[in-house]
Parts: sequence; structure tokens; C-alpha cells
Amino acid sequence: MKTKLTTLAVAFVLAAMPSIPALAYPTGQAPTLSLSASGRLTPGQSVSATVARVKPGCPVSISWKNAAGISAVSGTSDATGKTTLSITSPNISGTYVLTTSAISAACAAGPAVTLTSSVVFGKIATITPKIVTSNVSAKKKPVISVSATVKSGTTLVKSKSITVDLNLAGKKLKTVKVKTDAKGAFTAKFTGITKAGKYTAVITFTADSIYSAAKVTTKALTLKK
Amino acid sequence: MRFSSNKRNAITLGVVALVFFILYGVIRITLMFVSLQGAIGEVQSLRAAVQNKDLGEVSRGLGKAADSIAMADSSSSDPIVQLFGFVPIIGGDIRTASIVSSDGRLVLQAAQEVTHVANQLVKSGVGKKPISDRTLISSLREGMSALDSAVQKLNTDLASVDEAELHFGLDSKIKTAKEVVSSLAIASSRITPLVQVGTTVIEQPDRKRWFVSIQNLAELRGTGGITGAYAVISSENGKLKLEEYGSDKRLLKEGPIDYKNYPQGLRNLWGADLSDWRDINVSAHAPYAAQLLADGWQQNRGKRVDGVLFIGQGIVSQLSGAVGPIDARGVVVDKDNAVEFLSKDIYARFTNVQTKDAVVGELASEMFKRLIAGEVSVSGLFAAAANDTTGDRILAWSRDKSTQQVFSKYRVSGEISQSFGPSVAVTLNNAGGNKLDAYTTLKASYSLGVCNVDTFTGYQGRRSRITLDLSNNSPKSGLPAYVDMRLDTNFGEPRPKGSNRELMTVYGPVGSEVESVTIDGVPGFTINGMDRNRPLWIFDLNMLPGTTKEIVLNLVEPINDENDEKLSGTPSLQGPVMLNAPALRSSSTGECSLQ
Repeated sequence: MKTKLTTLAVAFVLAAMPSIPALAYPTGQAPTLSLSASGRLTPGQSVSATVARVKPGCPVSISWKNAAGISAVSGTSDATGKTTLSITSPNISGTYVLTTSAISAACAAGPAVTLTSSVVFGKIATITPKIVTSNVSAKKKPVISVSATVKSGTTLVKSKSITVDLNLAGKKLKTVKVKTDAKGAFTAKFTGITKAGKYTAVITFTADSIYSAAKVTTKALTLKK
Repeated sequence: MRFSSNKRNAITLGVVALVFFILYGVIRITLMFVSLQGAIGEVQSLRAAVQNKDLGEVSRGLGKAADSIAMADSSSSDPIVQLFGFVPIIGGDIRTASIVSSDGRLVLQAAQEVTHVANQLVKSGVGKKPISDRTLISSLREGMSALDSAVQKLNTDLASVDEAELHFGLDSKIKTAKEVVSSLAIASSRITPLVQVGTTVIEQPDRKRWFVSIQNLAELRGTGGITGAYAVISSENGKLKLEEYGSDKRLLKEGPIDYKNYPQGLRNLWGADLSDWRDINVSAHAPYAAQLLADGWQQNRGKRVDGVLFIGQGIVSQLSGAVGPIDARGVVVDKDNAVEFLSKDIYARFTNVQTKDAVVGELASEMFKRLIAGEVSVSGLFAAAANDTTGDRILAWSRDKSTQQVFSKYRVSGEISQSFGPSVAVTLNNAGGNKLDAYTTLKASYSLGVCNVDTFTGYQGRRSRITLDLSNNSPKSGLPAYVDMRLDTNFGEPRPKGSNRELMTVYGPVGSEVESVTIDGVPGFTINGMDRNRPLWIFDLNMLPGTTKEIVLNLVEPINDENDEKLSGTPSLQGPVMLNAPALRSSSTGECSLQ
């Protein structure tokens, strides 16, 4: 009798399942992933992340999706549905993706989810370059100069290695490596130019522990024959 | 004392010039007042034409009034007349007459254009015959937009006039004018978006299908409210047809919506909400919700939706004014009771949810049938719009890029801008699964503060502050169960009757960073993320009945963009579409200079 009742109950639950509405209603039922200090993060520092709206007692872990050498940290959701974990951030500035372990349907009180959050570490630098030539005629051995001041807010970015590629009609022609001076300024000079056409320069610097990578292209400069 | 002959001549010349100056000024001022009086007389004589709905006569009368006021404006623009504006005692009267002349001229000219175009449209049989001249439709839209700008300017300028400084009976006339213009400004600000959207829908040359989400602002969502009912309308060369209508239950039967191709930032924030017809409009960026609705229709019905319109109880009450009272199962719904009935009374009157949904569907169906049949009263629409005190506003989206640009231009697209600048948007989502947002109120302020502060990430910046006071004014007892239920997962928080859970989303300016966040004065938990290139914070708030929560965000925001160009402009604070109009305020200590 007991077995029959259990079977009936299971059958009833299974039959009723398709009529259970989508688990999204009301809004905001799904688990969330949030950083405590979004937008003001220094590479290498420890950051605090909270996974919320997970059923109490469920395992939760977080890790960096695209940063090597940093292991995941794990915890268990508390009675309020939150799991707050501290994780070391990557050492180099840039954009990284923090991801959770898969949260099961039973723990998410809805569809199983893997949460991700795109996080920016470090500062950005602004480069506003100029490209000029000593002569607009390609026949007269022009020297093309590419200059800019590199700033981050009102801070001048000093002693920063910069790569400047000179392109002709979109194809790389020459490369010059320079360093910003005490005023954050640099000038890269290109000699030996003989061809007429549209020249642009691409200024690149690689990410470090303070600044994120940057890449800027100048306006086009046209040399005549 | 005797003057030399030269000095006497000079003094005489000066006196004569002064007399001429004064005489000239007096004549011009008299002309200004007489012309103004003439314009007022012309407008007053239009009443009969308005009552007879003779648009041609109204347009001609407005033209005469515009000619008269143009003469007044010409006098008021005269530099000598403007000098008289600084004369003690009568200066205020002259300045006021000058405002009325110059602003009134713009209003009358725009009104003449609108009535002239409307008259031509009526003659061409718009809505009944195919459109013969599409430019008439766009002229109506542009004319109405110009009229609204002129009316808003007149209202703002008149509000700055102090009646206590006026004489010659002008004080009482200006007081009356202020009241009239104020209600005109309210009505215009509400009707103009309807005209902008309506004309854009009508002028489509090819067959287009529009999904109208009729939102219930008693359960808030990013674009306004949960979709309680819907209508599907097709438009083709000026003709409209009601294809289908129904309630949210019918939408739910369609099944979930596939949202996997939407931006990761959006999916991170809202997850499975985007798959549910009842929740897909959670984001503050209306085009996301509109596209999801269109996708859902395509995925489940195999039919293309070309555009989506979002309306709530406020717009419905305005449309009620246009189509007249509707009887649904013994209840007469009109412009005066539509908001109250559809947000509160319906739950007490129809406790059976199926019956309640049926009533909403029947009302929507009858309203759209009358609208499409052209059974509308412009004066009824105007009166309803002037009396609408809700915070509802129509939002529109089109799959067609050029049409979407029109919606965007008129600021009815509900887009979250991705551009740099001092702009903040706030939305609310009911996370309790109830209808308690009929009792939710919001006061919000956004103020730009001190300069010379860099953002952490590397923009020159300034400090700013967003303050939000969210109140749950619901009673602690006596509400129908359907109104104050809680369907969200319980994590142990107190949930007395009348309590609610709100998700308040705040979009900060592009590149901005939060320095501190407090809820009722103490640091609070926020869900943070990025969407549309903008940082955002979501506050998960358990709102007990009769309480207010104060949220303060202290930000540092850029004053230059990624190209090191200086940002300028006044701060913009966009509040939620909600039943109780939010009180919004923005301020600035002035522009900041780049270092």
C-alpha cells in the first residue's frame, strides 16, 4: 500500500512538472555574482566576491577564467543565500572574467547556472597622437614624426615603453620603439620614406601592473609622388 | 546763468532726442500691447470653431492671431522697448509682455501649422483610405514636437514672472495664463509622445506588425510594468488592423524565450528572467525587452514582429479619454477611474484571477477596436492627458533602423545611452511577485559636485552624488491576497503583510566609479555589473510597509571622454516609468575645466 502511494505521489509530481511555470517569475530569483569594489581594482590585490540567492548549504566556488596560475576558492552558501569569497586578482592590468562553478538547479532554485562577471583591473592611459611630415612629397626624403603625450587622468605616464608602427595603406612598413619622457611625451621619427600614399601610425603599449594595454591609430597622412 | 548758443543748441537737440526716444518707445510699447490684445481676442474668438471641430477655421484663426502676435513680438524685440524693461515700476510689465509676445508667437505659429496639417489629413481620409501624401504625417509629427517645445518654453518663462511686480490688471491675467499654460504644458508633454509614436506607426508604407505590451505598473519592470495584456496590430500605408489581443496567461502558454544571443553583461545580470514573458522587460534598456518580445513571438508563433510599444495605466487612461467610457462586466472604465481601477480596484472587485485577466483583455480589446476605427475624441484625449498624474510614458521600438532613429530622436525609445556624459538612469523591478507598486514612491536626485578629481581608472573627473528615497506606502492590512503576496524565495527576512522586495537598478555615467554606497546610512550589499558600456548597481531591497529606504551613491565620474575631449551639458536623471510619478531633481556646481 505504502509503495503504491509513493509511486502515485511520484507519478503525480512527474505529471505536474511540465505545468510548473518558468522559474524566472518573479524577477530577480536567479543567483547573482558581484564584486565588492567593481571599478577600482588594482592588479594583484585580493578582491571580495559574493554569490547571492543560492539555497543555503550549497557549494560555490569562483575562479578567473582567463588568468593563469590563480586557483579557485570555494565556500558554502549561508542562511541568507550568500557566499562571500576572497580571491587574489591577476598581476597584470586588463579585463578578466570571474566565473563561478556550475550552480545546480536545486541550489539555484531555477535553471542551473554558471555565472560570469567581466572585471577591469588597473588604469587606462589616454594617448592623443599626431602624425606630421617634414615634406608632403615622397621624392624629397620626408621624415614622418609621430608624437603624443600619454596621460592617465591628470597623471603623466613617464618612462613607459611604446611601440610605434608606421603603416602604408594599412600594411606595416616600419617599427620604432620609444619611451615616454618626464612629461609623458614621446616622438617617433621615421626616415627612408620613398613611397607616396596614405600613412597611419599605430601606437601600442603592453599592459603592466599599473596600466592596461592600449592601442591607438593616428589619422591618415597623405604623401604625394 | 547763461549758456553759449552752441551749448543751448546741444541741450535743445538732446531734449528733442530724448522726447523722440520716449515717444518712439511709448508708441512701440502701445503697439505691442494693442497687438497682443488683438492676438488674445483672435484666440478667444476661436472657441466656436473649436466646438464645431472646424479645423480649417481654427487654423485660419490661429494664423490671424499669429500675425497679430508677430507684430507684438516685433515691438518687443526693439532694443528701445527692451531698454524700457529696466524702467522702475513699469519695467516688469514690459518684460512680461515681451515674454508673452515672443514665446506666444512660437506657440501660435506651431499651433497653426499643426491644425493646418491635421485639417489636410482629415480631408485626405487618414485611417480610412491609403495615405496619399506621407509628408503630411511627418509634418504633423514635427509640428506637434515644435508646438510642445514652444509650450514648454512659454510655461518655463511664465513661471519666472512675479505677478506681484505687475500693474494695470496684468497681474491677474498673468496668474490665469500661468494656470492655463501649466495644464497645457502637462497635456502637451503627454500627448506629444503619443503623436510622435502614432504617426511613425501610421506612416509605414509596408505592412508592419506591432506588439503592444499593456503593462501593469502596479508590478514594476524596467520598461514600466509586467505585461498584463497585449495587442498585436498591423499597419499598412495608413491603415491599422487589430490582429489579436490577450492576457499574460496566453503569452505564458507560448513557452520560454531563447535569449542566449543577448549580451553577456545582460545575461549575467538577469539570467533566466529574460526567458519569461512576465520578466523579459527587466532591463532599463527598452530595446532589449522589445527585441526579446519580438524574438519570443517569432520563436513561438513563427510570425515576424516589426515593432513593439510599451504602455501602462497612465497611457491607457489618456486613451480612455480619447475613446470614451468602456463597460466591462458591469464596470464602466473611463479617463477618471482607469488608473485607480486598473492598478488597485480591479483586484478587490474581481478576486478570481481568471475573471480579472478576462476583464483586462476585454477592456484592451474594446479600446483598440475603437482606436483603430477612429472613434476618438481629441478634446477627451487632451483633458485626460492634462489630468494624468502618473509617471507613465510610452516607449517604442522598431526593427527597422531608420524608424528606430525616429523614436530615438524624439526620446521615446527608452534607450540607455552608451555615450560619455553626466547621465544617470534609475529603474525598479518588483521582485516580490505582487501588485504593491501602486503604493511605491521614489524621490531621486543627482548632483554634480567638485572638480579636479581623477577617476581611479584614469579620466579627469569630478565628484557626484545620487540620492534615492524609495518608499513602500502600502497598508499593513486590508489588501486582497493577490495584491500583497510574496512569491520570491524566502531567505529568512521578515515578511509581514504589505512587505515587498524591490530591485532598484542605477545606471551610472560611462566611466564612472562608485566611492561609497550606503543604504540608510550604512554600507550595503549591491549587485554590480556593466551593461551598455555603463557601470550599474542593483539594490536588492526588502521593503516593509510604511517604510522608506535611503540609498546614497558617491561617484567620481569623467569630465573627458576616451579621446580626451571635454564633456559638457547639464546633468540628466531619468527616473523609472512608474504609477506614482517619481520626484526627480538634478543640479550642478558648474562646468569643470580640463587640466
